[in-house]
Amino acid sequence: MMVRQTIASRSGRLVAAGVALVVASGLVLVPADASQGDVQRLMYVHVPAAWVGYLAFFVVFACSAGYLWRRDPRLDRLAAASAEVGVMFTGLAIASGSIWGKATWGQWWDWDPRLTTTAVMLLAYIAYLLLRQTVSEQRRRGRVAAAFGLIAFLNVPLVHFSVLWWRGLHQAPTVLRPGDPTIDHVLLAQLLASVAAFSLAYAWLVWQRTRLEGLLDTAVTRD
Amino acid sequence: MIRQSPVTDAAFVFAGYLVVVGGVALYAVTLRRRVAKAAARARAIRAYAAGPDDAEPAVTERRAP
Amino acid sequence: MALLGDAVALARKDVVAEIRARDALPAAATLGATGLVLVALAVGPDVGRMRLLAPALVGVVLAFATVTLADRLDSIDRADDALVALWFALDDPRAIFAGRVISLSASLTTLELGLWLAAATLLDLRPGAGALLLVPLAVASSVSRAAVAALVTSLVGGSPHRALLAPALLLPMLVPTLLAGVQAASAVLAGGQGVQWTAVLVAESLLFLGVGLITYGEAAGPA
Repeated sequence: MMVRQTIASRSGRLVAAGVALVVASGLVLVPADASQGDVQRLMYVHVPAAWVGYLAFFVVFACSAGYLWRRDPRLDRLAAASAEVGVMFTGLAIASGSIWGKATWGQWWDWDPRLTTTAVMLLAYIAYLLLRQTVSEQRRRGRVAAAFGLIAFLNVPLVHFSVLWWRGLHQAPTVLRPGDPTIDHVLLAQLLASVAAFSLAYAWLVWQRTRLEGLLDTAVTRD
Repeated sequence: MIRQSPVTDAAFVFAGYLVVVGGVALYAVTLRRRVAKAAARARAIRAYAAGPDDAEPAVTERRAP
Repeated sequence: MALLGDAVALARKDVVAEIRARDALPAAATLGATGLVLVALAVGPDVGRMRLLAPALVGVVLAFATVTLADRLDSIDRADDALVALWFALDDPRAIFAGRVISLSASLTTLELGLWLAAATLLDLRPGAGALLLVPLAVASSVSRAAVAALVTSLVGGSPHRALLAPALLLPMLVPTLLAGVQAASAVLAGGQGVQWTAVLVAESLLFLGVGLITYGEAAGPA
């Protein structure tokens, strides 16, 4: 138990240092964008937060399918943890995008397809957490959450492709697109480093959240 | 696209970084606290289940079925 | 084949119950008409604007009507433990899901066509020959809505929080159908065929039906 706590604590500090490093380089070291100027630096926190949201919801999808197949409670806990962390990151992506929108478009929110579908995706996963909250029996909670986790994932490709299917204010993908990325190499390197650091932060948070879920389940079972 | 003054640009950038990094940090700290609390409760439950001492059964964060 | 036979029998049971009781569909139709009148009142006497809004209006009204209809049918099944009896009496409980999709699709198609008729009369829509295209469009979007609604209401049906959970879970999941349905109807009303968007609707229907058939037996079950 103590060893696990020490590992959690040390790895947590390491991940925090990594995030601090990419944040510092995004703020100071990397040159400003030729067109948007310094405001474009928001990309180094906005895009990774959105990416981690996608990743988290994919993990919910995969664990939901796995749970329905294998009935392993660890998969259910992992799905629950990933959904909560994904909701947090998606919320932060929307908040940072809103700030970026005010700086470049002159408004905090626009009923643009990308923004709207992201908000709907967030609502779907908040509903997923709500569903988990309202079912107290462990196995039933796992089953109903897994079924909803499967269909809720349909929102994720809808968000990604919304900028291609409808015209709006939000720019089209610059990295995850067919062909070469339409972004300068230095900025791309910084972006990828930020994505890596945020992904590690996601992994650490999900690890801790899964542990919490396990502890709560154990406590309820033995109570 | 609107171009603001450099000072306004910097304010927007700092606000954005503060929201994201602050949000993640706040969540991480809260999570660590919740894990520590749940671990302490799980230990108390194990102690209660294992021995004939007077340890109180834990009240957990999650409602029992 | 046994599954299909049971599903058709269960769908017929739903339709007969609806014809005898005449409550769910009239309630949904009243909801639809109220929505139509309220939005027309809020937007003002600008028929041109209302014509543009018509597909979105019909789509939104149908989304809310889906929640009402699906919840009503599910609560009839759960009264007097009829669902438990059905679950154990059938060879394959997925017939309950398939039957619900058939009966809900029939009700929703009727409602959608009725709403288009009301919208055409009140908003002076002139789809011309395109009116015929609205029929397969209504069928495709109704199957998609019915499949997702049948699955989601079965997940929350036994919960004491169903009144809160059903719309919270179902409305975000109806968004993909709402988007494709509105785009297809707009294309038809503008003189096009909306083939691409109707194909998207068919794909969504198949996806929701597939996920429903795979997960229903595992996830739903009487609470």
